Formats: sequence, C-alpha cells, structure tokens
Amino acid sequence: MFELLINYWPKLLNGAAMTLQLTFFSVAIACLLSLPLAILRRSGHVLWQWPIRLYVSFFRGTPLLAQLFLVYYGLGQFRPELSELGLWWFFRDPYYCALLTFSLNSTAYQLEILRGGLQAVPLGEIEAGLSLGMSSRLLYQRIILPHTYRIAFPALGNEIILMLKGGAIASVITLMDVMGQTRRAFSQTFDITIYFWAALIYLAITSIFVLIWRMVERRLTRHINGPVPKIAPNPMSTNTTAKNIEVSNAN
Amino acid sequence: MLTNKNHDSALVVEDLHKSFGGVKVLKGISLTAKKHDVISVIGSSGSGKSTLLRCMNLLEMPEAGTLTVHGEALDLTKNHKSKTSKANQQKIERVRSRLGMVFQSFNLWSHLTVLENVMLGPCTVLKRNRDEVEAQAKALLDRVGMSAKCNMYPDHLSGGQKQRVAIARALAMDPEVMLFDEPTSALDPELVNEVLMVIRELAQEGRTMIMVTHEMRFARDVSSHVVYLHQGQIAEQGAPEQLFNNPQSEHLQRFISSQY
Repeated sequence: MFELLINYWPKLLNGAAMTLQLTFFSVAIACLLSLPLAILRRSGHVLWQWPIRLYVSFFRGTPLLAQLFLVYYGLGQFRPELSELGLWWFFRDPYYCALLTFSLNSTAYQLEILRGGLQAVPLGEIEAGLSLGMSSRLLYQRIILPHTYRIAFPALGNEIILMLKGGAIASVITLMDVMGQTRRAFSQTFDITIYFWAALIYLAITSIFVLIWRMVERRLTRHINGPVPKIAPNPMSTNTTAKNIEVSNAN
Repeated sequence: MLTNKNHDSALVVEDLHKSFGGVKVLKGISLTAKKHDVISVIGSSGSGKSTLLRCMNLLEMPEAGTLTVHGEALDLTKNHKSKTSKANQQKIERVRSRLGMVFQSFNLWSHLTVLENVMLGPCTVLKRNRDEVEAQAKALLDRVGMSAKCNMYPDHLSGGQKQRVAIARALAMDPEVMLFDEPTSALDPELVNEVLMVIRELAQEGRTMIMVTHEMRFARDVSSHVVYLHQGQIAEQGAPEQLFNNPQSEHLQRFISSQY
C-alpha cells in the first residue's frame, strides 16, 4: 500500500497542483463576474434580470459533467466555425474548456449567494448612509458590500469546497488533476488503494482551506464576537447567515 | 408659521403630499423651521409623523410639494414624475447631508467601531481631512459621554449608548437641522433620560431641530413650537403651553390626556 504511494507520489502531487490551480482560477474568475451580475440581478433593469435568471437556472439546474461535455465535445462539433473566429485554440484545449465551464458554473452559484447577502443587508444601515448624503457608489463601498461579503462568507467557502471536489470530473476530459493521475495509476497497477490516497489528498486540501477560511471569518466578524466584553452573538446576524447557508445547500 | 420664506428659515416644507399604495398619509403639509427653532411633531400612531420626517430628508419621495433647505429649493412634484436625473440626485444628496437624521432604531453601522461610525460621513461625503474629523469626532463623542467606548462595536453597547453615538454621528456632519424620529421609543425606560439629556442640551445651545416624539413632558419642556398631526394634516400648532393647556379640538384633548 505504501509502496504504491512511494511510486506515485510525485504524480499525485502534480495532480494536486493542477486541481488547486484549476479551482483557484475558476473561483477567482467567478468571484469577479458574480458581484456585478448579482447587483444587476437585484437592482438592474428588467431587461438585465431575465437573461441572468436564465443563466443561473441553466447552470444550477444541469449537471456539471453535462456542462463540461457540452463545452468540450459539443463545441468541438463547430470546429470550422470556431477556427474561422480564431477561437479554436481555446476550445480544443481541455484545460481551457474546464476553466470556462467551472467559472461559469461557479459564477451562477456565487451570484445567488451574493444576491442573498445583498438582500440581508440591514435596511436601516442603508438608510443611515442615505441620510448622510452618501451616493450609491459610496453606499456600496462602505456599507452594503462589507455587509454582503460578511453575510455570504460561510456560504462562499462552501461553494469553493464544492468546486474543488467537483473539479475531479475534469479528469474525464483528460486533464491530469488528482483524479486524473489516480485513474491512470489505477489503470497501471489495478491497486484500488490509490483511490484512498487520492481521497486523503482532497481531505488535506479541504481541511487546510476550511482552517484558513475560518480564521478569516473570525477576523471579519469581530464586530459581533469580540473583543470585549464577550457576549452572545447577535441572533439576527447568525440567523441570516444560517439562512444563506441553507439556501446555497438547497441549490 | 405657515410658508413664510424669509432668509432665517433653515427648512421649509410646502404643501407636501405622500401616499402609500393609494392610502394618503400626508395631505398637504406646510411647515417652516426657522433657525434655532425646536419643533416637536406629535400625534397618534398612523397620523403621518414619521413619514413627514422621512419626507423631509427624502428617504421617502413625496408625490408633491417643495422642500427648501438653506435656500436650496427642491421641487418634489417634478422629481416624482420624472426619473431623477444625475444632477437632481446630487442635489438630493446635498440636501440630505445638511440634515442630521436620528432614527428610532439607531441604525449604527454594525461593522464599524463607534469612532468610525462618527467619522465615516464627514470623511467620505464631505471629504474632510481625516485628522481634523477624528479630533472633532472624539470631541463629539465626549459631549455625548461616549468617548470611553470609541473603539467598541455597536453590538456591544446598550440602546441608550447607541442612540447617543447616533446623535454624535449626525452632529459630525454639522447639519443645518437635526431630525429626530422618535429617538427614545426603542429604549428601555431607564435609558430614555440619558438620551433626552443630550437632546435637551442641543436644544439649549440653539440647534434647529425637528423631533417626532411620544415624550409629551419633554416636548413641552424643550420645544419652541409644537405641531399636532391628525390624519395626515396639521390639525393644530403653536407654542407648547398654548397647545397643551388649551387644545382646541376634541381629538387633541383626548390624545393629550391619553399620553399623561
């Protein structure tokens, strides 16, 4: 069992690097896209809202694997057209296809999480900002977004973990992430314990991530939990956060 | 008191109309606050007191009427019909920045410390120098007796403390007029006095204030003028002694006796 690990650990580490990289870039791109879309979805013109709704329900309502196949194999059918547009280099590369699919998928989820966060910002605090003559830009910068991200923070962490593990299906389109390396190792050795080591790698990554995320969260919510005197967390704010987690899980 | 537009008036409201979904809440209210006036707005719940105050700093957009703050007039009728232009939006923001609002439920920004709460408005909206603002904010917090709690977050304060911070936050903008929307209604009885004391001091130093309140004794003590709202209209107004000792209408009589 350990022999297997000794033979294959460099490959598994390479796979881990690929998994981390793919997750990081997908989540980061989604993070950039989801905020403006969430704001448009909530307070933009109706003409904006419907396309966004459609987008979200498609990416949340279909399996990630199906989306990946649609992009990688589906768009592959249009090779001549894509070549003509000068986009073939992008769509023939499984890495780019996975990156695109995962980004779009994660954007849909993060968008909904942020929408919940935007809705949960206390109205009174917004009115306080308005009453001082703040412009809407200032309001977003100083009041609305700090609240939104604090409220959304645990749910966003959840989404990132789901993305990290969901990323394993990239191995199906030949990407050599942790799962890809594991599948290859298995096909060479027929030793099932390699999957056990792969699981441990995923577990290690998520554990470290959860630890970091929790530290940041504690820092962000210091206005509720600390410093002195220690009191019970504000029931209102924990409620809203809990509700958001529920929403994101249900999705 | 009705619609005299001389230059010592700090805030003038003329013929203000507001309805919510077909229900007329304000039916043509006109009110002038001259400099150093302390106006109390009283009336039973549902009479439109809070709506009137919220219309004054445009947290609610009235359907019709004009609002003049420090000589700058806003035609609200036009505002309501057309979508607010950018220039108009800036005008609205300017008017708001000259009116200090104190809310019933404090509405302090919970993610900022007490000091940051007081400093945010002057630093961002008025773009004033940070060091100056900090010195002023500390002085204001000292005045309301909250300087020891500078670095605490609102969630760790009592209601009375929060309201005193909220008053300091409004004062930091150096407003023409302070608007108080039932500032003590959300407080435990034993915390009401600490807030009223602060408001009383402000009245004594000659600040222009408009206050919606249920504290009749307090209104009688500090106000220079009392306005009684009934069903969306000003039913009676005048000096506090006159209004409280000699109410003209039966409903005001009943209202006053129910409050004592």
